[in-house]
Amino acid sequence: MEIVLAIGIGVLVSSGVWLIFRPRTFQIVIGLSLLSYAVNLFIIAMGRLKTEAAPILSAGGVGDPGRYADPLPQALVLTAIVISFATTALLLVVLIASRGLTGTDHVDGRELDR
Amino acid sequence: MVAPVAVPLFASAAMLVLGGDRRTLNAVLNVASVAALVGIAIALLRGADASPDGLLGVYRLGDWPAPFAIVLVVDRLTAIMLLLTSLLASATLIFSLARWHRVGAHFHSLFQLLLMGLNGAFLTGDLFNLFVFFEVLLAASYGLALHGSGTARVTTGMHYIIVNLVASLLFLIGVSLIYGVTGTLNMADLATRIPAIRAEDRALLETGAAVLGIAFLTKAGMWPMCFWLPRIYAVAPPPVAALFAILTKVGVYIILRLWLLLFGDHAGSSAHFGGELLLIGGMATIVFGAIGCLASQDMARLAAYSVLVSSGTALSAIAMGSVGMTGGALYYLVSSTLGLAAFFLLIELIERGREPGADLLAVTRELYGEEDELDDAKATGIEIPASMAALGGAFICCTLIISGLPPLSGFVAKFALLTAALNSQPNSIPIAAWIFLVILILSGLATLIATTRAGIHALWASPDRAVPSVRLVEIIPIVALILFCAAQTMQAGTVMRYTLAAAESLYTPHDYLRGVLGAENAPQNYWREAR
Amino acid sequence: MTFDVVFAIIWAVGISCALAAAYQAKFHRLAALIFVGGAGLVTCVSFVWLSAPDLALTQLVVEAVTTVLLVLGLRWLPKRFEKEKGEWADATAGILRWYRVRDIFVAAVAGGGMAVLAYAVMTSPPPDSISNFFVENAYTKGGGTNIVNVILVDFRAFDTLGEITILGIVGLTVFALLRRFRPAADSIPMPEQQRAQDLFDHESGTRQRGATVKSAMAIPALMMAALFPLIIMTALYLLLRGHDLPGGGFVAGVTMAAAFILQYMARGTIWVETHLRILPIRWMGAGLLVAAGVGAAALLFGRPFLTSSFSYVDIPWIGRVPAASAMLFDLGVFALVVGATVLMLIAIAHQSMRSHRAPRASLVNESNIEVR
Repeated sequence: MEIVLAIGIGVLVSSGVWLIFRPRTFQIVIGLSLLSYAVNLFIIAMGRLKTEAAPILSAGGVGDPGRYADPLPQALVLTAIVISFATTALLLVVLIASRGLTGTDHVDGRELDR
Repeated sequence: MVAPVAVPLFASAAMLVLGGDRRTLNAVLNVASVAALVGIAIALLRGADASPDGLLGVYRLGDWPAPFAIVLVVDRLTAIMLLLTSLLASATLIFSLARWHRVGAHFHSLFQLLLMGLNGAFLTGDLFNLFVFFEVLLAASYGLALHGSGTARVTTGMHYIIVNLVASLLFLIGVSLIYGVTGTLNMADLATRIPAIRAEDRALLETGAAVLGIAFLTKAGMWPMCFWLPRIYAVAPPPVAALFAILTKVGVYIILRLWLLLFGDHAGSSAHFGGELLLIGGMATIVFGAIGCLASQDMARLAAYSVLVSSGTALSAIAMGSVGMTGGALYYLVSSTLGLAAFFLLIELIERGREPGADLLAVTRELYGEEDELDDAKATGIEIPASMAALGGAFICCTLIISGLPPLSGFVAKFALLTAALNSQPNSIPIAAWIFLVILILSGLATLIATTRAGIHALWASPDRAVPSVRLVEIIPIVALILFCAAQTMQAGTVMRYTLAAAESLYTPHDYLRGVLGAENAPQNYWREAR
Repeated sequence: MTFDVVFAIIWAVGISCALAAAYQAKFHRLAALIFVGGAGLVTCVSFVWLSAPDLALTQLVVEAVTTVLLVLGLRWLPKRFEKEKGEWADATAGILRWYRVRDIFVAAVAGGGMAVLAYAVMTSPPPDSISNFFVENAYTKGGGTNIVNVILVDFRAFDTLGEITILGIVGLTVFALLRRFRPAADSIPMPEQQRAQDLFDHESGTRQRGATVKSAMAIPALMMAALFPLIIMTALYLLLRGHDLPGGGFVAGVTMAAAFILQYMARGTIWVETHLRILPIRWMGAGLLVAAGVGAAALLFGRPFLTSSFSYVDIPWIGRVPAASAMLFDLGVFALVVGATVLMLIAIAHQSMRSHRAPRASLVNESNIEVR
């Protein structure tokens, strides 16, 4: 199970890194989305894996930490999801604005010389 | 103590509720908030100095006990950074009131939110909370860098955003890795846990720290992660660029804080992790920045490369790892940030007179400006020959501060650094100190040559240039910034004592740990034992 | 943990999606977008699998809204066709090939490194974590059974305050930037499909121009209109139950924003804005004020910023309900998220109106040539 998730994270990171080295802005947006999935899964992994142990207390009262998945990384991921959503949106708009101003979708604002 | 974060937050929220288009109202709110911040920062600075252990206090947000929830910590270092931020903010705000705040929408709320992010990053004692505030200040800085739109700004702004997004992802990876190994996010708690970490986990911990370090150093502009910096600083609106002078210093601050806290003398086998790399990288940054200065054709770019020189100097001085050097580095940090901010503002005034046709604002206005009224910008300036003299004088002062010549504060700072480097060990002078000395002096020379050349070119050698029309509100902040530097020189003894005391407590974090974790949780003799 | 075949199969899909997205992103943007969505769904399923229902929920709605944003953005990108061989000069082609090899190498190293790191941490024994405190005290001192939500709105509410601020900043920046937007010359004309439909209307002689476009959307529009109150109810439900069960201000806010954007899609910008007055910036300001105000209210009671309190309140007809000040904080989060998300979506959606309107003269000529 761990190995599956680790490989999954690895492939997401590889695809993402490959894409952010590409010259087209859209590729970079896609790459950053993939990277942020990978990072979110990575953060969850840092709390160790646990199935069927959602951190929702059943009847109230004092919870037993051993019975639940680590809630802190989950809270961190929630914050990270929101932040990466916001920045993706911003990047997209800057991309659109840049495309409107320069007429190309190359990150440098001009095409490579042929 | 939460006020430096809460005041700008409320100010900007009020601006949004009252309507983002009422500029005068927003400007009034903004000025009031910045004035309040200056007052608070001064109070905190005095308070931190008056308290016996240099730690004004620890603010437990939500009233939860320390290592679990988020804490804010004010010590001397934080107080210095807060004061520096608020001084820069007041200068740039006054400058921008002349006309820049009208170039785009929501300038004032973004300005306040940037301050909120900066203050939060300086105050927080929690690693993940630091990430959040980093993102706040970065998001606001994207907004301000793109303020006023225009092709150059949008294209370079895109690079800036992409670089910082990648750095933020690295930041997250580093933080979570450290959490996965140590099980905590609180900086002080982390410092007490690191010496006791299992040997087989140490490699993971150091990887996490290295990833985190790369993220911070990218933001601090260390070579080779600094390629993005000169471009965005050169095209950002001048008051924003001046405020950005402190953004790289946030990276420097974090390195200073975390490196000494987590990997100081007491960190067991991880002590001084990455110190050599930091030193080499810092020096390489100085060299890169100095060469960039010499090669720059226009002044904004020259100033942007000076930012690199400044953060390189601070980083390598920190990496030398002695109280004297760190104290000197802090003094240098304050002086160079103020000087650079003044320089950025000044450049805009000088360039305005030199190439009226190429004025970025004019271009913007022509193409996109139908929604904003910039008509009175040119008309209300006073065309007096005296403004030329004032600009020239201010330019000379900035040059002196940035390149570190007497009599202003830049010289005192470099002198303190050099003395500390040479006295770091009682008998022999390490090779690194010699290299540092040579690089420091040569970089000073390089910036001197570059700025002088640019100054001659701009102020003397163009007889047919128009006298720039400068408004009083635009020259006052520059003069004020230079006066602060002069005051820093006059009171060099006092300021130096303060920065040395700040550095001293960074090297002996016992008080910090006890303050955050509470007397019962912090190991009493922990620091002495580790020695 | 034991190896699970189903989980492995899900991830086989996820991995293929990621690779396909990387491969398609240059020439087939829509396909790449779909593949990214696939990878996102796999991430989402993994969250459910790994006992993180809150994350799965959030990921799902964020995924949806991000996709809408990206699709709105696609409109403004240039058309790109795969290049013929030999178009580049030999020297340039060589350099490009070298770049590609280098990038593949770097990407492989980065991915491999992350995989090794993740595996190493997951298999090492967990440290004594501070999160035990949260599990033990979430209900007794925080007043909620959903530990993640209690962390977000109470233990680490300062993070959440920062996070919504970021969303607000981005909303403002998007707004400021797009006010100045001018589309590139080659994306000003109407999309090809719409032109073809208009052409069809024109040639049929009996139909009014634009009728096909309208009728193509007729049934979806009806459905979306019917969904509007339903989605709002869902959003409020998610908001209210957040403290005890998966949900919370953020998810609720994004869901609410999705309801608005569906209206925009179904009825068109003009209809919505004549019938609904949404003032996103006010929503944002109010949300920020409420969240920060709840935090500051604690100061009045002599407690630190963001200290929460909770008790049980008897409401007639409903009975005894828990009331935590943290829920009010969540309400602030909700308002800000609605405001910021709607602001971003509307700002981008408005551009399509602007492009038909702004350089009117040239546009009219161009489309007339096509039509006649």
